[in-house]
Amino acid sequence: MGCCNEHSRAELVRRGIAEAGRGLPSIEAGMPTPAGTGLSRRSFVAQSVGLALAVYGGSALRPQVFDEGIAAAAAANGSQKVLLSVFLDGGADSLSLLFPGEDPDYLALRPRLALPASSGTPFAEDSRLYWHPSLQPLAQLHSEGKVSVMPGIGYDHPNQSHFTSRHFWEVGAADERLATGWLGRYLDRVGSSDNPLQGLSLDWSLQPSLATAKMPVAAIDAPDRYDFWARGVWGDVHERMIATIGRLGALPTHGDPGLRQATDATRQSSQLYRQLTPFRGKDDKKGFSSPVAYPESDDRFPNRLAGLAAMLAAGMPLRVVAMSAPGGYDTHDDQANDLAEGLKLTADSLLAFQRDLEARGLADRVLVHVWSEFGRRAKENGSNGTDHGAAGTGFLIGSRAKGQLIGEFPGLKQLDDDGNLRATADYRGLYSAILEDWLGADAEAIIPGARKFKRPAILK
Amino acid sequence: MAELPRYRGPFGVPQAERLLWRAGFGPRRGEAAQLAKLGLDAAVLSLTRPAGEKWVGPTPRDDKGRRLAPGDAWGHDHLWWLDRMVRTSRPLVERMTLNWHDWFATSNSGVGSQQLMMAQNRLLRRYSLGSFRKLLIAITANPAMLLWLSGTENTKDAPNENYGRELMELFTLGEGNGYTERDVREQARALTGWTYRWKRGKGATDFRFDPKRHDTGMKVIFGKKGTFSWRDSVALTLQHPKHAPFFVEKLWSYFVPEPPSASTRAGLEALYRDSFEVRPVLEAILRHPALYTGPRMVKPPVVYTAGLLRGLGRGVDTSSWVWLSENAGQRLFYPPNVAGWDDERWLDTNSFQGRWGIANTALEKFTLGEKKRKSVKVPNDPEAIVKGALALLGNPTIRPETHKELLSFARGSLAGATGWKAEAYPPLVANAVRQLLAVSPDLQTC
Amino acid sequence: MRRLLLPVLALALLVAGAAPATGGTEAESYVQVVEKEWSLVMSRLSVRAGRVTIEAVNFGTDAHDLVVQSKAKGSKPVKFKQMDPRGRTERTLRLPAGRYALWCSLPGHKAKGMKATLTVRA
Repeated sequence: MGCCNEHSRAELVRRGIAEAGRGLPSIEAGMPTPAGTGLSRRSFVAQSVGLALAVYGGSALRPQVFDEGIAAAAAANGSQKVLLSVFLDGGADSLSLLFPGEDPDYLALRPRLALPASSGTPFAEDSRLYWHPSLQPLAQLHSEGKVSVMPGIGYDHPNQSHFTSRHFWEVGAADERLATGWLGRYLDRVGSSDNPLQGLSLDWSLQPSLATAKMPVAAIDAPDRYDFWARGVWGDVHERMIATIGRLGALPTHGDPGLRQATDATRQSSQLYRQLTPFRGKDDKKGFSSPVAYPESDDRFPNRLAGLAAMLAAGMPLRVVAMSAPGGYDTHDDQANDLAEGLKLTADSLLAFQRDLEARGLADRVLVHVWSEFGRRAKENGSNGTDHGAAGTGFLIGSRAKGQLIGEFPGLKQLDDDGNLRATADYRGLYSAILEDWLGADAEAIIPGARKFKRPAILK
Repeated sequence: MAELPRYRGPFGVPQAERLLWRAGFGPRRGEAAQLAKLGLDAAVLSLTRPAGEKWVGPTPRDDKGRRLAPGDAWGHDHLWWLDRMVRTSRPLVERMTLNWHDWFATSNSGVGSQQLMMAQNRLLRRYSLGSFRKLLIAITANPAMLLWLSGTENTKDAPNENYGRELMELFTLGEGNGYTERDVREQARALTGWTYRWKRGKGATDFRFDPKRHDTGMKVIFGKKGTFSWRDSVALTLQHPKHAPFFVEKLWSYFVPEPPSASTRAGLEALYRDSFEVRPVLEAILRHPALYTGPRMVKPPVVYTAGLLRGLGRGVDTSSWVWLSENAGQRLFYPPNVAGWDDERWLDTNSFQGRWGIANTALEKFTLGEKKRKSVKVPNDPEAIVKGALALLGNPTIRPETHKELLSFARGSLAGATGWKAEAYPPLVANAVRQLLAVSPDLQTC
Repeated sequence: MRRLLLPVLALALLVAGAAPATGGTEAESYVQVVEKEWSLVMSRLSVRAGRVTIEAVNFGTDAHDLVVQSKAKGSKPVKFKQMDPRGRTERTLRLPAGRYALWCSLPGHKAKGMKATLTVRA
């Protein structure tokens, strides 16, 4: 998928590290430990909401307490604001997401990769820029005033290692040793000890930005843990096997308490299986319905967004949600197609998600932050791709987003000493604004050195 | 006094199976039939007075093929003990060790030393079928227990009631059963004196009773007066009139789910009182009609796991058992609290998936139809498939309705499996039948 | 007599020298280091030289890590990854005989007592 080998192999190691409780593989030298490594991981089926989760951290409360905690939080939820963090993994090329189609420097730096201006929608706030063709859905939302673009977001002394830079973004500081995520620290301040849905990773393992020190957070449990996967069984034989679990769970127990305990568990598990479909692959029938159509894909991203909207509509007490976008953005080689594909599915899905929220009357409660660990070099490399850069592009999407540029396009005339785009906004200022204006929290207590960073205007 | 009732019904394979599941970890292939041939009495004695240990099966390994280091490697403690359960030819010894681990529930989370936990495990095994009095004395002085229940923090200047309370509440009398808060305080005084030396790098070592730290004053416990010390604490609880009833009921509950009748209780107490020997009580329980004619019990997760492996003839060869067992709610050496595991709640939707995972992992070595692995050809025949699944798992006794469901599943899946499916489906169906059988309520209970 | 002895001796030497450098058949020892505030407790005080798997487990409420360094002159410290409470990390090192210092490198932790000495015997 255009990823450099080192990135994809190390990504597997990184995921392995982040998946606590499954045994730790050997560590690669030089990588900062992802926030949340070593957190305890427990399986928990949230009866009240029909979800199989992996709960990370929190004290050693019994799972039953979480069910009650979720129910209590849902009852008290009301109009809790929600932040969804979407990560473009690999360092998305800002100069492609919004490209200066007519800039002679652009054409000179990217003889093969330069996109023609005619291929993209002009960017309304800066006539130099055009939207990547795949980002047409975001252009549409932008025209509705629902997208704030950050064309040059980053930080001083940029780090070009995937894991280090990503780590800085996840922990909200340029600190390799910090072990909690910025959203995790937010939850430690305002969260509750018995609601693991307050921080939800829509992934098989915990997104490090959600890693807490005290409060429990959750990830969707891996499918092979709760969809009754059996080795050497697939297709409609698998479906029939699941149905048989239900039938075994319906056999009479004649008042035998031991048999009843086992039979009840069997029956309830087969019932839950039917409800636990939101986060499985596209082949499974969904246990919920959406008012809008989402893109069809083998990737779970659209389905997860649809499921998230359904969860919010059902009143589930979520505060912060984190997930990764489809596609690989570490486009060292043959960038053009890979980038186009990944961005298209991401943008199409995010548009569907926005429409879904609007249809359900939830659009005022959700803000989406799209980010990547860095942008890429202005000059293309010799393999039809680009290498790691510095400042990148990010978005805030939602009905309440201000819809105005945060920072400005840095331009190609004043690249930094490494030949990279300069940052015109600091991600820590953005985080501080999100915490203060959207989530109503004290940024100074969550982002180290928050005082130093200018807060952009992010909301209407 | 009336003699204790003895089961007088047929002692065939189903009864032998139940006995092996309740008093051990289930049968190996053919073991139930062999035991049934002995008849009830000899069968029970073969469990309570076993011959020397003869390990059956391959030595255990972890995922990396390494030998186990139960005192030095995380998870190897659980695997080491699971392996004993799988390979032992003295299942009741091992099962009673597990029961004592629950009775005197000590968690390494409060001890911080797998070595000390292993030493406690050896202690529990040493007294597994012997004298409860000797066991209680030994556990009171056991380093892991002393750390876990603050025995060494209990000094004459700063008494700590933790062990004194649990000694009575959980180990010998039952909550609020024949003792007062004053007794708790006085017990704590009697139990003072235990201490250890801290050595850097080694931790707590040289556990001993130091008379200089002991409160030598007069104490009143259960209305009796004396300058009691820790051995007296133990003796007083054993002699308490409420101890024998508590003991027999609790021991009984590990083997039979419904409480004993009044006359059975009286009979068991009579066996136990004064001698404090466990074996005669066990023999009476294992011969009792209630065990054979009463309702089922849910198998604890490690018992379920060990039993699957015993039935399949597979050894411990992966570290997965550690987290699988944790998912199912039973990580050995880490009971949830000092009250042990709660067998009323073994199986709910959370732990069901844990059991599903255990079954799937146990069966994975036998998966049919995989190209990489040479395996038998599976006939396109529902009856043969179900028969084969039962045989693989050691021919366990199942309800006719369960058998019917498995057959119906196999028939339904194979009906209309024409063309490429005729070749491809039988192994899929066979794998599924095995999995269904392994997680059926029949095999989750005994 | 002499002729018999020689082949037996040769066989013995063959067996003794047979341990390969790669893992799996080479003898491996294990030691677990339980870290808490404020101590390191090792599951054993000494191990055999060769491949040694050192596993650090965090039984405390703070983050901790582990550094292992031979007390021989000029040796380099080996640093393990930091662990959150209830986390663990392990490394397999080839250790020659000698004494090794172990400690937690987080600020102030070693001074408060998080240190120990492991003996590796020949």
